Amino acid sequence: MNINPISPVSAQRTINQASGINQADYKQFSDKLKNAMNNFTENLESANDSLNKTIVGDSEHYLDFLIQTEKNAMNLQVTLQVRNKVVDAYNEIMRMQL
Amino acid sequence: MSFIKALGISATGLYAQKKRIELVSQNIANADTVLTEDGTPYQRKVAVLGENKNYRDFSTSLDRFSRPLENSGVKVTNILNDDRPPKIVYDPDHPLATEDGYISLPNIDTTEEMLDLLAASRAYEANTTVLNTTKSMFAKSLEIVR
Amino acid sequence: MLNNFDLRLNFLSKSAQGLNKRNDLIAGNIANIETPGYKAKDIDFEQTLRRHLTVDSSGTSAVRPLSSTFDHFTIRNKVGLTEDMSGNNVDIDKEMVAMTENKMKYDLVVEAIKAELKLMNIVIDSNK
Repeated sequence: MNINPISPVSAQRTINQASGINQADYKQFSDKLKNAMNNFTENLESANDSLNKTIVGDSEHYLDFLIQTEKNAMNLQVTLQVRNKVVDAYNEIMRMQL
Repeated sequence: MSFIKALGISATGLYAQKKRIELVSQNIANADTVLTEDGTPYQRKVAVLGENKNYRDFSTSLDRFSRPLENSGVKVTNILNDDRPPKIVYDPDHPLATEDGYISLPNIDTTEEMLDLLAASRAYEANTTVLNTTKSMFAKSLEIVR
Repeated sequence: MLNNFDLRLNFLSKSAQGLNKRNDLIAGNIANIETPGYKAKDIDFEQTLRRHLTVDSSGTSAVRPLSSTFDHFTIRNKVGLTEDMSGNNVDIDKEMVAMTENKMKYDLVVEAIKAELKLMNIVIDSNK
């Protein structure tokens, strides 16, 4: 009688299959988060640039600075709240009894 | 402490212009003063203005030798008599008239005094505006810690 | 981000100082508006600050790193003004305009400082 070796079961894959999430989705989400962070940095730099130019004499962009600054504050809050939710979700999963 | 310096400087401006306005009042009030204490007609008074580097700020006076250009307020350095001759007017009925019937009136021209008054008022107002701006800038800074 | 934050605040603080100094000088110019021989003064605010900015290929400016030692602003006589008979070259209208513009820039800089601090506060609050 043949005894087949038991194939190692990946807990991750089981959870994935059970909850319907797959690797591709993970990557998409983490990429989105990375993009959001990059965008945020660029927006910060853009706001700074507008203000710098206003201070040293070219005052056309002061409105850009004001609008971008408010957007940045809002973006940061949203990003951080998303991060908090992700952390909360992770914690909840870890708490689950397997 | 920048704003203290600026307030001090504006204060010197207000004071100097106020002095000029006082002199205008004095000149006009004495337009007909034929006889003063020293026997002559009243002479028009003029304020001479000069830079004032002694406003209340220690750090600037310490730096006086290291910095070639510095900020300064203003002060009345002198009140001079206008040397132009008095107006000779024919008025034989005047108690102080000479034998020929002439009296010497002060060399004051109302129009000239009015122009001075306007200039001094305008300068006074400008100093007030600067003072208010300095106050606003300080108030704005306080928002940082609100 | 923290490093950049420090650099930005330093730059903004120096900008605010310079604008304060310029306000002082405008106060001095206006106080001496009728002083014989008086020459209007200003500081080289824009030139000094420009030295502390770098501009990349796309025209975006940023504060130069290692800008911890800022040059001092230098007080200079204003140029291009006409003198009256006594040599005084203060133009009351130019000074009033300069004062207004200065105040506007100052308000913007203070708002920028508040915004930087607010961003940090958002991060701190989010961790509670």
